[in-house]
Amino acid sequence: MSAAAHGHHDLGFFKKYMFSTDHKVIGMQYLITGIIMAFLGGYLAVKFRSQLAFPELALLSGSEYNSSVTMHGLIMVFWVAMPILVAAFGNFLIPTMIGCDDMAYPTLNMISYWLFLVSAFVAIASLLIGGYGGAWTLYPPLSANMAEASGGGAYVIGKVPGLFSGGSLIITAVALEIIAFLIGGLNFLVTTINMRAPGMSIWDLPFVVWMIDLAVVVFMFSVGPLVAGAIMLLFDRTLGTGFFDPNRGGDPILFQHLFWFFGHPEVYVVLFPSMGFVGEAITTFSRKPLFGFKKVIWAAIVASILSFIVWAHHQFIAGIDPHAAVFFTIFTVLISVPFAAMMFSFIATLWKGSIELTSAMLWALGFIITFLFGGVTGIYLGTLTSDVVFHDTYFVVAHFHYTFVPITIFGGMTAIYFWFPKFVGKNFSEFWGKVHFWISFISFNAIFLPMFIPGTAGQHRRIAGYTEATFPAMAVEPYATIRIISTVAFWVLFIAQVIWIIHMIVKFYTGEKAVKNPWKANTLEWTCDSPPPHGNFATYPTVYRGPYEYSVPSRDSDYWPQDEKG
Amino acid sequence: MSSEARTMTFSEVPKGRLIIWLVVAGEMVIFGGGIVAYLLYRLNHIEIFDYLARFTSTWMGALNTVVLLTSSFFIVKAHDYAARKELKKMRNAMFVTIGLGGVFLVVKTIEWVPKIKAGLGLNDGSAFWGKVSAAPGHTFWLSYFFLTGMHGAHVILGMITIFIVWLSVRKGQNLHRVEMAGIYWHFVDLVWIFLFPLFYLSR
Amino acid sequence: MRLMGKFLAVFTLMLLAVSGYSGLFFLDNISSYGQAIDNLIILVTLIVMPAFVICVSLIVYFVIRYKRREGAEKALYETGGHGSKLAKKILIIDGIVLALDIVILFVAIPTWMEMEVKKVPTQGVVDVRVTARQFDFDFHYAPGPDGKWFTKDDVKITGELRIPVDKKVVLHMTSFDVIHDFWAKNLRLKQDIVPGRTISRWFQVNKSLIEKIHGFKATDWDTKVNVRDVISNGNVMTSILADDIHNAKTEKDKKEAKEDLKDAKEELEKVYKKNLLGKRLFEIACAEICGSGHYKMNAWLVVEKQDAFDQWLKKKVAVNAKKYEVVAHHSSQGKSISFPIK
Ligand SMILES: [Cu+2]
Ligand SMILES: [Cu+2]
Repeated sequence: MSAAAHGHHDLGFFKKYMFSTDHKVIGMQYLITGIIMAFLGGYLAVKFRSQLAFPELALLSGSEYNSSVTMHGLIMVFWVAMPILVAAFGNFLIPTMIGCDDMAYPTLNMISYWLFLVSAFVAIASLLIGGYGGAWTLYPPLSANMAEASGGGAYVIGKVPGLFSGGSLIITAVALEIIAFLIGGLNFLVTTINMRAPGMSIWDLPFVVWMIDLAVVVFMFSVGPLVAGAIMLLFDRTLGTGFFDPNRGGDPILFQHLFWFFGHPEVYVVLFPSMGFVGEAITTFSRKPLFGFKKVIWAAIVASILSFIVWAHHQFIAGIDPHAAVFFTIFTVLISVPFAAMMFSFIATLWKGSIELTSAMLWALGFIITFLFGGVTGIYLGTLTSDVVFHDTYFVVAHFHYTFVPITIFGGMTAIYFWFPKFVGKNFSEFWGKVHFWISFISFNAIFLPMFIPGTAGQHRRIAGYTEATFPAMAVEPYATIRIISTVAFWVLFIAQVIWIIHMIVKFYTGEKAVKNPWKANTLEWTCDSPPPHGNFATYPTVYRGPYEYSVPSRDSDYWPQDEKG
Repeated sequence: MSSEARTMTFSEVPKGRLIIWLVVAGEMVIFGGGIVAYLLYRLNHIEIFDYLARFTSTWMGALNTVVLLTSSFFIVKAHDYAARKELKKMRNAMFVTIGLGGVFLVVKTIEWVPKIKAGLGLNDGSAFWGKVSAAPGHTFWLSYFFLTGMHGAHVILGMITIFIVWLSVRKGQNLHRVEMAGIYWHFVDLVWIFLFPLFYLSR
Repeated sequence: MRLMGKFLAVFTLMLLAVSGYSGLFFLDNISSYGQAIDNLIILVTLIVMPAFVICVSLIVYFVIRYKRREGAEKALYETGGHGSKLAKKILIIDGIVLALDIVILFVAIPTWMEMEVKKVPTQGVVDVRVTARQFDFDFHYAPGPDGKWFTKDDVKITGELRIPVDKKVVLHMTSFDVIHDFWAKNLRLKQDIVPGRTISRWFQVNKSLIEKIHGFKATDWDTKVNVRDVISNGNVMTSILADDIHNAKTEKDKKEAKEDLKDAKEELEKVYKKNLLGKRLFEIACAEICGSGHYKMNAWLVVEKQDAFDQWLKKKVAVNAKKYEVVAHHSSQGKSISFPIK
């Protein structure tokens, strides 16, 4: 029986594009929502970076500045990285790569997106009434108890801000978003476990499917405490319960544990899918098998396990037991070993390859280089005593943007350029893809590389302006100029993304139709039409081999699709 | 609109059972967060927590334990009847389960009302339990309301689930769903088994 | 051999760059354990930066060397599975990564033990209670004749931590409202200040380190550092900056406000020079976001010779005994925190 046979009813616009249960439509919904939120988060960054570089202009007040940086962080992590990397591409790739027609629970999939969309609207509502200004980490007591409900004002004991305040709304939004992803994630796992094409063992699963599922598992087992913590915090804010109020026996540091128990694994939740995209692009454009495929996956599993016992490296100076800090630093530094192994495998995949520098490949290589730098600067922060100096300085800001921007922008763009012909069905312009890459790569480094310098000097974070009156050591040169360089470079990066979105929209309407398998890749999604119809496959495939049989010596062709007999 | 791919079971575990176990695993971590918070509070004020545990009603807690265990027995029965296609008995067993969930909630309410009236969890609550150093004990009541409240919400959720399943299976279709509802109900039961000693038995 | 020589040359260059880097961008260290931290940072740099450069060079080299060309041979079929020579080599490199990790830990942990784990000294030290509140630090000395806390002869000052050189200082930190963070950049001391707990940390400023600061003259010890001067001038400037420019309605007002700002800056620079900024006067910042005024929450660290410090304290005792009424506020956990009644 063919999937196409039942695929083509005339569904109305609402059924087809709004309340669709088709995994590709839902993926596209996630992707577009994520991109819109990315521009919103970027706009906030334009605001506060301009204030920071030119404090004399007094563009933002102290609390407006706080609220901009906080909302920027929350939006970028929860409403950009998560939906684009995990949800959008999870939805696109999992069913097509394992050779089935849709998710195991299509309706649940749709509910997951709509819950996510509601959470995004709640987040925007929070932003519209002033947002929350106590940092994306939401530390109480500041977050639990405020007189000025919005922008992070003064703390007044016993006075709670109520539900309709920037802070309460954003906490609610985060909780909703988490639930949406839990529902979506469960679906991913069940689909991968149960609905693979005949013959597809777990080691025939493409790398990216492994990584997305691993991300979901890590998310599922780390987010629970934060859900509990968010509910407790919401009660503190609305009912005045005092879970985190030290004057009534509560403990503010408890929240930090609940938050970071999730917060560290969360990095891997977004990192793993991104590494998956990069791995796919690198093998395809080097025409080589992914080097040490099984070992890379085992390394990722080891790293995920370790990620559950390193969270307190965010709290070395927060007042935790200094003996415990030693325990956490050891595991934190050790986590570099599996990640080094994964990175070496990527590099080894390039060795003696037949490398083609397409746009997707450029973004993938850009990911490896920038993320490596993020990784090595992480060593400074995972090590006890140097963290004392760097904690809450611009060193940290530069470091985690050297991880999060590669993950979200470089990894995300790898995926978008790689699968654009498949899921949009149109060809894009390699020229503009490369222009986009080079402007982004250079401007990104120009933002964050100089930032390590004030960071080393101890320039601390979340300050609306380093004036001669308050922090004279930071108001002098070269730091003032460095802040201006970063800001100008950020404007360039922002404009480059505008060029990109225009390019994508133009190609969506005018691009020539893409062929089935433009990159000559092995995995199953390339055997569908571009874009895949409802139901994906004309005939369901059977899998005969692993996903990375490139340049097999006995064959003329340098690729060998998974579903090709023989 | 099903297709061969949609009904494929590669792992030979039905997808319903798979997803319900995953839901349970995720929920356990959420409760884990709450329980760890309770344990950390308790670690700081062991004596006060032990003292305050006397003010919870052990017999009501025990009664509720019995009620939930009995309800679990009935949902197992419902599963049995479903396997044997004895629809009437199955429906009755499911209703008894829902009813026992209701009993649980009634007992819980009787237990909660005076405590809420005394303002425990919001003020120092000394009107209710006398004058021991007030502040640290606050977190005992907070965790008590938070964890038992969250559990209560899951009881309600479980009851709704069973009711929805009841609607879809009463005519004899989708009988495997009884098992899913049962797994979830067992989980709700299990959480209570954890909470009971924490709040009612310590000391 | 030639490759080796090239490699060594690059490596030496990098060493130089790194030491230059640290010299350029660290603020002068003045605390007894700060040098160990700076050294660790340099060590980590020496380990990770070459590793990073090697990886990137490999990537760039491979991309150029193995670029796809017309008629070029097929890529190598190498899965990296069992029996792969390259896989074995990578395993060895992983081992090296592990070994370097262990080296870093071995250097870092002893310093940590010294700074944080070792019992805070109690004998022959200067005890200071630090109370953070939105958006100031209060410092509280108990030096009076009775030597006890919370008596009338205590000294409390806002925004100024004055300490003697070559002597251990113990800070007992607590917060009145939300979480703050005590960040003394030149001391390499950073500690969150958490309401409901008192966290004690120690440090010692070494005379030799102060005198090593660029441009420090021996006579600078005798200059009086006046923090009130700094604060009042700073306040004037902050108000001009924040309000006047923001509220200026006409271009003319705006221009005037900007000119005021320029004057204030010059004035402040003079005051700083007089007060030996960066030599005996150092900035302390709140490094943990604490509300709308976090961006201006700071304090000043003043280093004095022992006798000058004693004199200063004596004078303060006389003044403050009248000025402040001290309230011992017992927090829920029986630990006392205190705050000035204005
Ligand atoms: Cu972390
Ligand atoms: Cu602050």
